[in-house]
Amino acid sequence: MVVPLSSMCEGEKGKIRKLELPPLTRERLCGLGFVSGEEIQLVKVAPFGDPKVFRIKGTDITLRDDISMWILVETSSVPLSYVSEGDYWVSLINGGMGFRQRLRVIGIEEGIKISVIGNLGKRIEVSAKGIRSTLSRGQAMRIIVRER
Amino acid sequence: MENQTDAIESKKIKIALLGNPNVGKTSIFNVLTGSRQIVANWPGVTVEKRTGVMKHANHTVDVVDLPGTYTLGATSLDERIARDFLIDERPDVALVIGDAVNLERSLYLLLQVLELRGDVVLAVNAVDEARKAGFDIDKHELSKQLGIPVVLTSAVTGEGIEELKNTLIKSAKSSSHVHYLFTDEIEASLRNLSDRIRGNTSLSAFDKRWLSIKLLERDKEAEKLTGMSLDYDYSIEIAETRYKYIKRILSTSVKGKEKIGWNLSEAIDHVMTHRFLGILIFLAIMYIVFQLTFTISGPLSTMIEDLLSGLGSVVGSWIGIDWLRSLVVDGVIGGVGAILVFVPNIFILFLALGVLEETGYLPRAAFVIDKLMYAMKLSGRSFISLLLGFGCNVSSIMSTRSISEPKERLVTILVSPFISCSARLPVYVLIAGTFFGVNAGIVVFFLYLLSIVVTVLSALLINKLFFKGEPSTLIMELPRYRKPRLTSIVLYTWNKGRHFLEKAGTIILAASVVIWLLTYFPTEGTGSFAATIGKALGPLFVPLGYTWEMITSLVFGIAAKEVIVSSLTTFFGNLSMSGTSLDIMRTIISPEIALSFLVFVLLYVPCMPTLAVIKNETGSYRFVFFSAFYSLAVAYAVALIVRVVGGLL
Repeated sequence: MVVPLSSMCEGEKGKIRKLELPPLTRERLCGLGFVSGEEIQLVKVAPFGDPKVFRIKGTDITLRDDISMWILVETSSVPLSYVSEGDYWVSLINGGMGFRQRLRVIGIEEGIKISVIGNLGKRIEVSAKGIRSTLSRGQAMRIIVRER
Repeated sequence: MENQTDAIESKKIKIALLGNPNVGKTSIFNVLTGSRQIVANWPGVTVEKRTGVMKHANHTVDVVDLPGTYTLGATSLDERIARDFLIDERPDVALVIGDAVNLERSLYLLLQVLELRGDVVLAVNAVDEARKAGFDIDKHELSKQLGIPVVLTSAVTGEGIEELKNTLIKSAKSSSHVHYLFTDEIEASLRNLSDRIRGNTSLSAFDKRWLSIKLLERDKEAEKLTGMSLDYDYSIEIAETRYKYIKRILSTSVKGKEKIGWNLSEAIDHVMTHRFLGILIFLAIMYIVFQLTFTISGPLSTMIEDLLSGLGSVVGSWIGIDWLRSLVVDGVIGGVGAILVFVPNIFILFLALGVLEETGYLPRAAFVIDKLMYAMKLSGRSFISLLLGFGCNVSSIMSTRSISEPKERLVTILVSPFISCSARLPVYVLIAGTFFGVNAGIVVFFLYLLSIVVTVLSALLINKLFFKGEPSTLIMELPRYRKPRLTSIVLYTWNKGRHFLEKAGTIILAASVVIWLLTYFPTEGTGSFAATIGKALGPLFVPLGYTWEMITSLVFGIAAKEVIVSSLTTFFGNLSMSGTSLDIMRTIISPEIALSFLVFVLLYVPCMPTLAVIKNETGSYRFVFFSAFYSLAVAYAVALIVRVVGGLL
C-alpha cells in the first residue's frame, strides 16, 4: 500500500516510491538518499506531533509534515484506520500498557488475525478472536496491520 | 594566476574542505590549521567563512572550510557558496571529508565533486568510531575504485592526520581528473551536450561533462550559463546511478556490518526526545544556558564596569581640558566599556552553545520545540535565541548563528529586539513603581506578555512581507551524540567572540562617541543637541502626551535602554525634593501616559549595540533601518492605543 511518509507510524518501515516535491527540495533530499526503492523508517515523532525523524541510509533526518506528506512510500503495513474490509494481521500496536490492555480485552494483540467488517464514518467495526467490537479512528490509527 | 614560474620555492597552495554537515569537517579543519584561523562571513551573505593556514614540510597552505553540504547543486545558499568557490577560486586540492560510519552519503557528495573537477582527496573521518561499530574500511581498495587518494583519519585520536597533510601537498602537484560512467542512454546525451557546449567559447573555463550533467539534472544555473534548456529531466536517473555506483564501490571496500543491538546514541535519544521527559530536559537545559549566560557573567560584567570607571577617573584626573576629559572618559572609555561589558556574556554564551552543538543536542532541542516555533514561521532553533533575548538582545542575535535556515534566521534576528531584555527592567520598575504602587507587578507582567505577543505577530508579518508563502525547507540531520572536545569548543568560542569584538565592537565604539557628542555639545545636559532633538521631536509626540524630558531620555536610551532611568532621574529627580524618586513626574503626566511610555520603551528602536549586531549578522544596513523604523512604528501605534484605551477607563 502506498501512503505519504507523514502518515506512517512510529517504528514503521517502508520503501520510497516517489517524491512529489519541487525540484530544489527533491535534489536536496536526493543527496540525503531519498531515492525510490530506498528503505525508510519513521523513528520518532516530536512531542508536539511534528516534525518527525526518519532513518534513511543509517542516518536520522528530521522533516516537517509539509515536506514528508509529499513523499510516497510503499509499506506492507498500514494503520488499521486506512484499510478496507478484509482480513489483516496486527503487526504493531502503538501505545502504552493501558491501551494494550484495553485492546487485549477485545481480542486484539500483536501477531493475531483481525477482520475489518465495516470501515465507514467515525468508527471501524472489527472482529478478532471471534470478538466483535468497534474502534474509534484515533484508536485504529495506532494499530498497524499488514495484509496476508 | 595561471602563470607558473619554475622557481624552487613552493608556490602557495590553496585547499578547500568539503563534506556533509556533522562529519567532523570542522574538527579536521582545526587539526590541520591549529589556531591559525580567521572567521568572517562570505561576502554579502551571513554564512560563516573559516579560513586558516596549514604549515607542513616547508609548505604554507591556505585552507578554506566550505559550508557543509549534501550535494553540489545550487539548492541552498550553503551549496551555492561551496560550488561557486570550487568553480571561481579553483583551489589546488578539493579535500572531501567523509564519515566512516556513513560512507554512502559522503561518497554521493564526493562523486559530485569528481564530476566538477580533478585533484580530489578523500579523508574518511571518524575511522575509530567505525571500527568500534564493526566496520573495516579498505582504503587501498577504495582508492583504486575511486581513482583518487584516500586517507583514513580521526580528528579525535589524531590518526592519519600527518598522512593527510602529506597527501594533500602531493596532490596539489598532480592534476588528475577521474570520471565514472552513467548508463549508456545518459552517456550518449552527455556526449551530445558536451559537443554543443564545446562550440560555445565563453564556456571554455568550465568542465564540459560537468555542465552537461547539470543540464540533464535541470540545474537552473547551468541553464542560465549555457543558455540551453532541455525538455527532459534525468535528475532521478542520475541520482540513482550515483547511488548504484557507490553501492558497488562499498561492497568491495567496506567489510563488516553494523553491530545490531544496544546503541548508546539511540538510548540517549529515547530520553532526550521523549514526549514528556524530552520537554522537561529541554526546558532544564534552556534554563541552565540562560542562567550561565546572564547570572555568571553578571558579576564579571560589573567588575569590568568598575575597572573601567576606575580607569576613567584616573585618566580623567590627568586631563585638564573639560571637553577632552569628557570625550576620553565618557566617550572613548565609556564606549570601550559598552563593548567590554558584553564580553563575559558573549563568551559564556558561545561556550554553552559550543557544548550543545558539539554534543549534538542542539538539533534535538530544535526538533522537540519545532512545532511551536513553526507556528510562527520560525525554526525550532529560534527558541533558544528568543529565550536569550530576555537577558540581552545582543546575545540573542549572536546566537542565531546556529539557525541553519537563512530565512528563519533573518526573521529571528529581526523580531528578537522585541523580546524584553534585562536592561529594560529597571525602567519598568522605576516608572511602574512610581505610578502603579502595589499594581506595579501586574504592569511589568503585562509588558512581558506584550513583548511576546508583538514578537509572535511580527514574525508572522515579516514572513508575509519578505517571504510570501515560500514553503519550509527544514531538512535537518540528527547527528550521533559525541563527546565534546575542549579544543574545538575553545576555538569555537574564541572565533565567535573575537568576531563580535572586531566587527560589532567597532560600530558600538563609534556610536558611543557620536552619542557623547550629542549629549555634550553645545552645553552638557539640558542644553545639549540630544535635548534639542528631544524638544524638536515634541510635536510628534503630542498624541502620546510625552514631555520633552521623556522624549530626550528616549533619545538617550538608544545608546542603551537602562540609560533611560538615569536620564529620567536627572531630569525629574533634581526637581523633586525626595531625591531620586520620580514623584514630580506624577504631577505632570497621568498613569495611562506612563503606561504608554513603558510600552514605548519596550518596543521602540533597538539599542545601539543591538543595531550593530543586526548589521554584523545580516551583513546589510537595509535590515538595520528596517528594524529601527519598523520598531518605531510599532511602538508608536501600540503606545497610542494604550494611551487612548487607558484614558477611557
